[in-house]
Amino acid sequence: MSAENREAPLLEVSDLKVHFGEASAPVKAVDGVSFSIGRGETLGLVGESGCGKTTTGMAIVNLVKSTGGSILFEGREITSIDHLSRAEQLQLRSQIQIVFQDPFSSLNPRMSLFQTLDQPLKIHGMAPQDRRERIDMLLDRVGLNPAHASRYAHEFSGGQRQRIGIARALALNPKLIICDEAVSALDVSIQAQIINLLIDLQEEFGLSYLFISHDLAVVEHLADRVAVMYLGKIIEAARYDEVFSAPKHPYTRALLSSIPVPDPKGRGEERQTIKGEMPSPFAPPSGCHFHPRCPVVMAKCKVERPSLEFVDEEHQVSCHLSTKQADTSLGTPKKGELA
Amino acid sequence: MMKSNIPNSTDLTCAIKVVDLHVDFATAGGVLPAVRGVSFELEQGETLAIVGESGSGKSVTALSIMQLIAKRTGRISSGEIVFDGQDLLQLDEHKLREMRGNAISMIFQEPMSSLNPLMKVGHQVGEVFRRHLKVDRAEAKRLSIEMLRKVGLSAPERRYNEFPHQISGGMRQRVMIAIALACRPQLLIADEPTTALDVTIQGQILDLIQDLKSENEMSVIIITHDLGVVAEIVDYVVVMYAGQVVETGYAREIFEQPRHPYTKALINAVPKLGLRTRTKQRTRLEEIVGTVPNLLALPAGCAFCERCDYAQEICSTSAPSMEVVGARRSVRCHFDLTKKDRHHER
Repeated sequence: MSAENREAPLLEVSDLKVHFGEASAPVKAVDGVSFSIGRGETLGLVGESGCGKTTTGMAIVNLVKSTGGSILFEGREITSIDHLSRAEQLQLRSQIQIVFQDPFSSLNPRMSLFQTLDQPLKIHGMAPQDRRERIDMLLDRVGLNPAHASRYAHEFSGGQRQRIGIARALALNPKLIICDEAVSALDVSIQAQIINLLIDLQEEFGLSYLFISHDLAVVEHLADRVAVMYLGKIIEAARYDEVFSAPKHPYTRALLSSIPVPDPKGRGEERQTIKGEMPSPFAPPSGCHFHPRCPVVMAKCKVERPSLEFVDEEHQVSCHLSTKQADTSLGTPKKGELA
Repeated sequence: MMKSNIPNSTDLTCAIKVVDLHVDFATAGGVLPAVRGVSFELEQGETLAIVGESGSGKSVTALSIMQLIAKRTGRISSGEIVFDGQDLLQLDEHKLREMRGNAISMIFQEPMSSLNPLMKVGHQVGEVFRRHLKVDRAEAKRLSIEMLRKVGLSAPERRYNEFPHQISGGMRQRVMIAIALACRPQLLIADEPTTALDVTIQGQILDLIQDLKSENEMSVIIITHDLGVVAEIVDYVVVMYAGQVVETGYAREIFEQPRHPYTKALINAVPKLGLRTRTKQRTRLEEIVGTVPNLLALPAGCAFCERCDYAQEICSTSAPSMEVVGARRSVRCHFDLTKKDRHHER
């Protein structure tokens, strides 16, 4: 799905920066992130808490202001939307929607299901009769009972609320939906329902997803390409199968190897846990940000920051080892039968 | 029915035994039976997992062992919890306090809300030593720093004087573990101990619990919904659904040959790491249709009936009872999946 769409990406993010605080000593939440998403494509954005994945998503929908770089949507500059007219802003917002992690805090408790879905349609000037039809269609499509349209958020379960969040995102026929940990708060049985729903909707409406998650098994299941973030930067990006079968960055390897695999047969094998925690963005380490935790750190890594380089046609890595050798001499992770 | 599965309480290998536990909560909608006759036993030195979705009663079961059910709304209406030869449900509050944090301790999912934000972390560890070992301030401090070092905190002397908001989530969970293990409990109850943590930190915490467990000859009950965690560190599994145990067995048996349709569905609903990369297919996951039943209006038959792929007529009218099907292996289903004469899938 990814290759043929590469020429005309739906979304193109280049050198995106979101720095907070004083300009003299900024906290670099997102620090030079670049990626693109094609039509109908899913990009998985993964990393631990604090790596900047959510801030990246927020910057794309302009819920936080970026401080550098550019975001192009269908070739149009949307890094800042201040220069756009209100009509243009509205039009843009209808094209890019977001589904949040917590279906409890992202729905207005004082609005019924009908009102929640009616509001965006009304703002975008749809006639009442059409709105009613559209809402019925949306509810049916996400698997909610239209007879429940007058109920309020608290009357629904977590899974149902996430369906409401998805229906709301779909209401205006968007091209891109940013799913920020959209299935993380759900029980596994409900999580499977929502993942299936996202797959079905993508096929039906040709949607593109930016799928932000810390759950690598879910990302592998959904994404066409995967970008791994660490402390504000992308450290590896490739097709999903490359990332999961031949990860090149030591951090990606460590992440994959620390996932507990739901099969007790693999238990004898040692889990490769990495030491320490992600450093504070207030005081990032010198050189490569990952070097204090890296099992294969070299002297060079402590002083010189590697840049994100192509090691083959579709695989980017930011590591001194990979760019030098461009092979997998480090050995593959032991857990998870990734090969 | 379960009685035959339970050895008598003089059995020295038994760490804790829960017998026919019932817990009810008073709600606006009526009496909610959160735990409906739960029985299981844990052997010395074993790690047992209680697995289930939100609302299955797994956390309430754990809280009942500690007797931390809010008295205003909740009530342990019947059952026995046998620990160290005595029924914990018969103990008075004074005896319970002696036991909590001493012989049995507990760690919770959210370390931020379980630690006192106004108290230095060192003092929160020291409190346990002062309360249970009756040591003086200086000794408590020495022991606390020792304990913080043991759970892997760097610079424990400095951490001792820090407040919970000054340390990361992973470190807070380490502090919780230090508090829980301070008095070398015989039994540790961990309620979703790694759910709020990043995967690299989760690995570290699981390793830590494993290490301290073997060091202290402790038994562990871990409450989780993460089957990966279960496969990684658990010996024996209790699967709960709608307030009841629906299947028990050793972890390997549960994964290799689940007998209850719910257990099977739960295992299949999780995306398998590496699968799509191998097959190059983005398939739909096997979902469990519908949601858990309302405990205030439980169906007459099997609680899982509505969502079950294998349900037959009898399932909607008659609630299955727990059948012992092997050594420490039991299942609550009219149509045990391993039985050959099982009816065809719906």
